[in-house]
Amino acid sequence: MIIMIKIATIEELEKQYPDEWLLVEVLEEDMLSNPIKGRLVAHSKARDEIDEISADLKGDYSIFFTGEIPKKGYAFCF
Amino acid sequence: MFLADDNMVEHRFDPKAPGIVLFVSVCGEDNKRRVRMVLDTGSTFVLIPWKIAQELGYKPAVSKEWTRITTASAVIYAPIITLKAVATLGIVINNVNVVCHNLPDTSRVDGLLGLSYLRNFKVEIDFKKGILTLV
Repeated sequence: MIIMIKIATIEELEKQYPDEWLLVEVLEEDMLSNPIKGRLVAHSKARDEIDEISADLKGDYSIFFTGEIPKKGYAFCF
Repeated sequence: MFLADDNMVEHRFDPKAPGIVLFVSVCGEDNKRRVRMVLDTGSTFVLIPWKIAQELGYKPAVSKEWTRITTASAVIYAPIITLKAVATLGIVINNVNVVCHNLPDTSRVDGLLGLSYLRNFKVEIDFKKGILTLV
């Protein structure tokens, strides 16, 4: 896990950190409330590590995976 | 994605994708998380992970209301909590009941956008054109 402070668009972050979980403080949203720019707080391959950091954060934060959804070779059926 | 008019929102999606995935905001009294969820008209409730519920300030373990949820593979007993608000595509619904349950990591999403949110709308899904409309 890497903890850092970096401001960028969500699109830039997705390209820069492929196949990782990101924790981003949302700074801008589009007209439909989708996050478009933020401050990267942490990124990791392991979701648990992101949860450890986000547990104590208060405010407007987004947590999302930057890669393929669901994992390649898997399908949704709930 | 765009607002078609004041009462209608359209979201364009890939009709060949494994699911319709949306950014959804879930809100507690003084905290907010924006996570990705799968649109699921087969789910009675919006579903969020336990940790997200706890981050928002809720205590699902001591919820007074629990329900059995029938999944594709098992029956699970899970707590119901009422979130201050749930929003997607710019539309906020207050006081939404959600079930707390963790999806497998391979899903790579943080929940299901189920009927406890969707039933507030007329929902149209055009899989030929790849357009989701909430009216």
